Amino acid sequence: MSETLAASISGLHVRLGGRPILKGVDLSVGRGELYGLLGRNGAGKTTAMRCLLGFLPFQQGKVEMFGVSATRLSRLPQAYGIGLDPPGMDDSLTLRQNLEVACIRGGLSRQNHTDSQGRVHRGVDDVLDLVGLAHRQHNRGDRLSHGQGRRAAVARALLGAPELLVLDEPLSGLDPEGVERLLDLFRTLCQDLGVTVILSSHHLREVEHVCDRVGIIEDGETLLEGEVATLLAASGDRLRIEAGQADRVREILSSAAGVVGPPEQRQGGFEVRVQESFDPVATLQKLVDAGAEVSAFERERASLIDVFHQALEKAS
Amino acid sequence: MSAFLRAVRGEFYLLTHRRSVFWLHFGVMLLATLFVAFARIKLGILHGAGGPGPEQTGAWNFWPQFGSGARAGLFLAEIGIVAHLAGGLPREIASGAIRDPLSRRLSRLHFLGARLLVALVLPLTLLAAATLASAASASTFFDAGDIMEDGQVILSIEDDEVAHYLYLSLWHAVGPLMALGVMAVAFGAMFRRGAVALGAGLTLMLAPTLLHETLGDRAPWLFTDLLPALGADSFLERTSRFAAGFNDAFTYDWEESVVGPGWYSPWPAVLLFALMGLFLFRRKAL
Repeated sequence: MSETLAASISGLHVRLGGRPILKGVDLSVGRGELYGLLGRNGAGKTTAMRCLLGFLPFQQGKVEMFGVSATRLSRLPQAYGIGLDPPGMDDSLTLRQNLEVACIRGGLSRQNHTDSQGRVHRGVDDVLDLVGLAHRQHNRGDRLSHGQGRRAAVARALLGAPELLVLDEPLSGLDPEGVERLLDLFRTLCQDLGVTVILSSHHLREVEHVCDRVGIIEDGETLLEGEVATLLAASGDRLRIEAGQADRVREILSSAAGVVGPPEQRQGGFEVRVQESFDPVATLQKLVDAGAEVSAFERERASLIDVFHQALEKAS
Repeated sequence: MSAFLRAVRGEFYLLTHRRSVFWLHFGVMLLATLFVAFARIKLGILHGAGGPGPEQTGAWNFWPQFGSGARAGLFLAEIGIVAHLAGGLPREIASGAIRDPLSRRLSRLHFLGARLLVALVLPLTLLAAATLASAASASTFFDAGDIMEDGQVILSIEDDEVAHYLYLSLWHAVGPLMALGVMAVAFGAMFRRGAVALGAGLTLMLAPTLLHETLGDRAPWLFTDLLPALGADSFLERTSRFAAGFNDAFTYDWEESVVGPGWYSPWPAVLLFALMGLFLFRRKAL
């Protein structure tokens, strides 16, 4: 199993200063996946990432990257790149120098080259172009804006030929163009080069569009993990109805096939979750036949935001 | 290339590219130069007011000014070593800069080992900077003949081994300065906050001066007692005074009781602090 996984965390417990921070995190990321790690602020996403990368000692659990324990990552044959929060630029060096020292420490060439296995190793100029920071390469670390610092961290993570990228909120503070650029880049890396990308983010709409799988952490525990498409299907679409005769509408909706849970009364109507098996035409017909005076009947596709809120509601 | 060699190359890249390191060397050289220049101005003013001139007092000579100038530069060097190396790790941990090198197949042992190596090299480059600047400045403003007072030779540079003692005292400073660097790195690995690490380093650096009476004969066994600038038993300070013609600079057993232990006492400290740093950094949350 572990041979197919780029990263796996099971039963992870972490206490910091006597306070439990993680109380049972389980995540598994397959090779070549684009994995979104979601959760509210302080949920434990960054802590889980730090454990995965061997930066934080943990009390209980098993944490592995490519089947190698997080405590022995210096022996890992695969290269990986990281961009955590804060981005970790050396403020006394220019952006270019920051990338050059990373190349030196990693034993990487500063120029692009292709190895004997045909893999392209990215050099300093290439990664700067990829994240759109070539024009800022001579700026010192402290002269970069918040968003540029994030992009710089991504650039550094891309040096060489990493097989895994672990990025903590790489989209935070980026302008819409920057978000789009990085998401395109991540998608390309996964699809064309088989790179595994683990990213934490609060940009749920964007994550929904690019990620294959997601995991949701809340209060130090994994609430939910799975493929985005499966989770969306299980979550159900949102049906919003505005109509008169509330009792009759509630009765019809409650008895309709494919409706998940009781209808909730909202301002001027009802909202209910419906699955694929729900037949909107038949339900609408029933409402009309019952004289419910329907003025709105809208079906909204389920989004990752819905999945996220449902998971949090369940947990609470 | 081995992981340790990569880590060392990375550390030397930082050493040669960080502006703070450049400015520290610049500051040390400037201080050494200015100290000698001001000494020359002061002697000139005194001479103009009827005080002793060249060949009338030992101070009008290259050798004592060279020693004193180097010592002045080393004041800043010693503080700079502690500030740069003790504050470095906490700052890198706080900014997250420490994480990238450790994601490049470098173990913590490799990383800190390379940093400790830099802690041995930085004091040497600062000592060289202070020595060269002081030598250049002193040779510009003073002549390097025998030490004279009232027209009489009181110390022969060759026969009384003045130059030999000055060079020896600079060589003697290497051990305490290197131990200071390693101590600063170890304190950086011990404390999360740079200010605390710096405070601890400065406290230990000044402890022999503050507790000199209490420590008594045991003071030279604490390496910071022998630091060339801030140490209470600075060999360089004594040799500079000796070169200026102060014949009470060395008491009869000072060389045996202070200089002797000084050749050995820093090295156990280097080893102890290096091991302490490696042990503390091994499991540190980053």
